[in-house]
Amino acid sequence: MPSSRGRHLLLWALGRLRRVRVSGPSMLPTLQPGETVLVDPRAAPRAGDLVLALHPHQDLLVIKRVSRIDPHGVELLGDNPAQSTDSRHYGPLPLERLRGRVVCTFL
Amino acid sequence: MIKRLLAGLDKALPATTAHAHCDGPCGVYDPASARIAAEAVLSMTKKLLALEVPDPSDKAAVVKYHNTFARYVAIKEEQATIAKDEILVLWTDYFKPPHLEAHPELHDLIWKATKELSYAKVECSLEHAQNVMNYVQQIHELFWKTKNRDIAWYTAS
Repeated sequence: MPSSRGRHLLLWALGRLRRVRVSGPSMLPTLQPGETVLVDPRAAPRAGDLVLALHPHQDLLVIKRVSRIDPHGVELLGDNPAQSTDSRHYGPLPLERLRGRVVCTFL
Repeated sequence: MIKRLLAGLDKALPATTAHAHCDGPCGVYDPASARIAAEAVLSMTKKLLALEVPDPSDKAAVVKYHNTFARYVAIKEEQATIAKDEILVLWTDYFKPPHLEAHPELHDLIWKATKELSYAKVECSLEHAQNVMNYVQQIHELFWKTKNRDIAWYTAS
């Protein structure tokens, strides 16, 4: 995951990118718990991208990696499968639950 | 300077939190907790069956008998519920589709184990309590096979 550059910080200051703090260990070693990332809510994610999404059954934002995406839905996996609850448990998510693509880590 | 500016922006535009999460105490599963509760069910069943009914005219002995009887039943009920919960957590949270493919008997085994726990509650039956232990042992063996680990079965009592 690249870290932010001036362009990202500018987009964030303009409100085009959303800053999100990661909680929990499921994206280790890519993302550390407590780290913040910048998310582009308008970007269309592809397989391999990190995304922000709404949990399928809870009012909860999650960060995971896209393992597969097609018009029917998106499969999400944590980078740390031993400590991740993801599509292996809750199945694919409808695309409407995607909330953006993680662009970079903050700073 | 830039750091102070960013710290200020951080306060002004706080980050929302997203969960890179895991439900529950991640990855820590062990059928031993079901085994301990199942052992308690077997032990309470044995103790209940061994209780001597006192002379009905000896009031103190009758009170003591009922008190002990009630306590044994209460513990048997409680531990059977715990064993059931522990087995169901393994089933719903730990075991994944690939485990089921490798061990197609999984669903039936869980069903039988939890069913026997229901019988162990409804009745005071050494046979059902022993069946519970046998099924928990089979779950233990299946569980550790999925982890490619050779953990010997043992009981505390």
